[in-house]
Amino acid sequence: MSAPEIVSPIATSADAHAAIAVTGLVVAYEHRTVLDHVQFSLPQGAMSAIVGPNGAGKSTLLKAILGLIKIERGSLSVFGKPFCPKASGVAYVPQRSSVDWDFPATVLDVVIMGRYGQMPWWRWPGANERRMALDALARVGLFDLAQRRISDLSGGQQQRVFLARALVQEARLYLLDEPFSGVDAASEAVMVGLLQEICQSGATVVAVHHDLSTVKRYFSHLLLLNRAVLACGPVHDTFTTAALQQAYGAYLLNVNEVP
Amino acid sequence: MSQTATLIGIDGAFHEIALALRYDFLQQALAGTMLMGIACGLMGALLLLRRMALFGDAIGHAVLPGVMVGYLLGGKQFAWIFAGALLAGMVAASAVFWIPQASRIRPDAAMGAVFTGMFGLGIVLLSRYQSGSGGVSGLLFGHALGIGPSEVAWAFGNLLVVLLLLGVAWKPLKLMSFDPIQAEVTGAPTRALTHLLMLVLTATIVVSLPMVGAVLVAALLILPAAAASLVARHFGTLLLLAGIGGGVASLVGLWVSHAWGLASGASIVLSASALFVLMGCVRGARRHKASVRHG
Amino acid sequence: MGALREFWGFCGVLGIVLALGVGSCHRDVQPTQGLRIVATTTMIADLARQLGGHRVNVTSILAPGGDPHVYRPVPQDTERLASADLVLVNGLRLEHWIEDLIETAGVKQRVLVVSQGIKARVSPIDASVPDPHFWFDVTRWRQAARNVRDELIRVDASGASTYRENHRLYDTQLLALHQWVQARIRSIRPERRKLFTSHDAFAYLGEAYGIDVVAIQGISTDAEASSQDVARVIDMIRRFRIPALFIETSVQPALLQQVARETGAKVGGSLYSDSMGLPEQGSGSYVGMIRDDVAQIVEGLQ
Repeated sequence: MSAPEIVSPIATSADAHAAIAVTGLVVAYEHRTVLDHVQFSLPQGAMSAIVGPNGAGKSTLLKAILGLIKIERGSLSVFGKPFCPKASGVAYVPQRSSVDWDFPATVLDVVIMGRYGQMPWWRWPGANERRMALDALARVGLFDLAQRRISDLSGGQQQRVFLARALVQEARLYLLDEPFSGVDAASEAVMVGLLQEICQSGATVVAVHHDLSTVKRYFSHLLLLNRAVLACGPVHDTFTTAALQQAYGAYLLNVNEVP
Repeated sequence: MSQTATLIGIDGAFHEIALALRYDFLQQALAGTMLMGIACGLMGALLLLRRMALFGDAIGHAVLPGVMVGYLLGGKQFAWIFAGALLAGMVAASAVFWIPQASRIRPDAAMGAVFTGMFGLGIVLLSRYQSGSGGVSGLLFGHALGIGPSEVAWAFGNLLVVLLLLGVAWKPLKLMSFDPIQAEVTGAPTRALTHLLMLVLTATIVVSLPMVGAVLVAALLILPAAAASLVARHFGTLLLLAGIGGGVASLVGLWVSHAWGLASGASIVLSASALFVLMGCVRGARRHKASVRHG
Repeated sequence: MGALREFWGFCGVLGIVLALGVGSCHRDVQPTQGLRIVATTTMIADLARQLGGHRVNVTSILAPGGDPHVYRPVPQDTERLASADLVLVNGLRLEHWIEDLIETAGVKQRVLVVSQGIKARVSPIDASVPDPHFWFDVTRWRQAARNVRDELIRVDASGASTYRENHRLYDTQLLALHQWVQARIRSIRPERRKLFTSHDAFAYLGEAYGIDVVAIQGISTDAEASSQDVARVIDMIRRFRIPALFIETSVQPALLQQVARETGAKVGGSLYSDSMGLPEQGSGSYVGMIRDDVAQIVEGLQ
């Protein structure tokens, strides 16, 4: 499976400055290849989307980058080094369904938990953590809901809580797994605005994205994935009909039809 | 005898309690069961949050062959029984984790298979060595009135360990219970903590065996935590209420068993059930009040 | 490929299960000589062996240390009963499970209740229920021996002379035992002749040999003692300065140990109550069991 002719994926000299660089990644699950010799790099300070059909291995890729799953082969680096959980500078925003929202906690509790990774084990969360959490909540527009129980939140609100939790980590790289799926328009707008703001201040955002119609509008870079890399690079270069057809099959006719 | 008097007259009841507490065996029963109740409430809360409530039940049953082996090797010395049960508990916990990884059997089926199998093995050992089994049948159903200072000491030590664990690892425990992936990604020692939790859980169960027995210990792990989850809004509150609930259930249960001459272990479980129902009512009342306010 | 292996594996497991099942159905080969006697308790089995000698082949349903009050029968018991020539039962409601077994095995006409004709006590706890532990009065046991002898003669008349001779010899032993027990109990100072146990099996011993018997639990071993009873016992031990407590081998010792701890009384050793000890031990016979128990009691109360 070689990379397609459409776009050249990697400029290797840029790897050291890449936010994420992956080479030769193979991930298998029960004798099925989920990721097949994946190779790409995504630049710093950019807002990149990872896009592909269902079962393309997008979530798996994120998990591989975070060291959560076993890989057969390959190397992954974040800011030039393999991912290390402690002081990683990476904030992960998972899918909402990965968590039980009946857990007894308030919105503020969850956001403060985002600071745990940065605190020594003997210190209890205090006024400083609280302030940071409230600031983050304000940025996502949930300041008034700080004391609301998380079981009482809508989908969009839940997603914004996760984003606030990521914000307090003051990360250099934000990895998000389908942050806009099942989210109301208002929440989506708030989140996109915030993510673009974060990018402008120098952080990197990489999101698995489900909605083709908003890729060009939201993101500057694209990784098109269907078990292998089909395209990787700036959105205007990669978001082409041919690439999408190769990824999604004949169902997608013309990129110009995508609004 | 004086049951009616006990129930009707409050200061009669206090007098009864004061009289009762003159006896070592009741002091020990009270101390032991309360310490156990608190520890089980706390550990049960952690299990509940990770949707592993029945895991405690499984371990409780699985320790039986370990208890028998310990008893056969070391007589009625608690240390031997503790060691045997601990070993069996760790074997069961490992099997329950390992079987789903190595096969297509799901965790709930693995749990069922492991704990019923080990319990069956324990019963086989029990019936084979029935001759000296008087003390061990107490381990199946509890003999709270017969516990001695050493059992109380073990329970106290165990509670200290639980509290220490919670105190030191509060943040990662809370995070792990809510979002285990986040915990792993932010560098929390999830694997080590999980192993430690299993160990402390098994120890808590073993220490609880003399008070309520292998069959009933699961109830003490589940009920106070479930009751607390009905009304607790924060992680810390849940644990606090579960611990207190377990202690109170033991206190009330023993009192009821003393006043009415009922089996002690079962009375404690019934009190915990009553607590659960009570918390259910509290929650119902709260909701009603809230809907009236907003309606 | 994997599915095929799974199939063979399943067949293998099924095969093992079936083999075990069939194997356990296999009947024990019964020796053809001798009267086949099945007794419920080990004491009765011992009695049958003493009286029957070589002419009989005796097995007991309960094993040494087993508790007849809570015994749960297994399928082999029904088989054993069905092929017995004579079934010996204690009676006095000791074995509540035996009636169903006898019914199923269809041996009703071959059953002897060894306690028949013997004057029984009522349970100290519940006057509507008899106290079945009559074997602790050696005189009553001698009566039971006579019952068994007569039944053996009735069932196997050709051995009558053997049975009579065996019985005569054994009865002499029993009489000597009875006198020995009397002497030993009398050697305890009167104010210390109080037997405290967790099981109410010794009332007959008390009545026959002049010793006060007090128990924490009732006759059956499945009732758990209430804390009020335990408190009462502690009070009594303190008031009467009871020197020793005796634990049943078939009952929870934890309760009794706690009482001993609390009152400072000595834990006086295990007593055989509902069963004899192992055959190799001294207590593996009725005479041995009585001697062991009495020796323990006397030593503890000295």
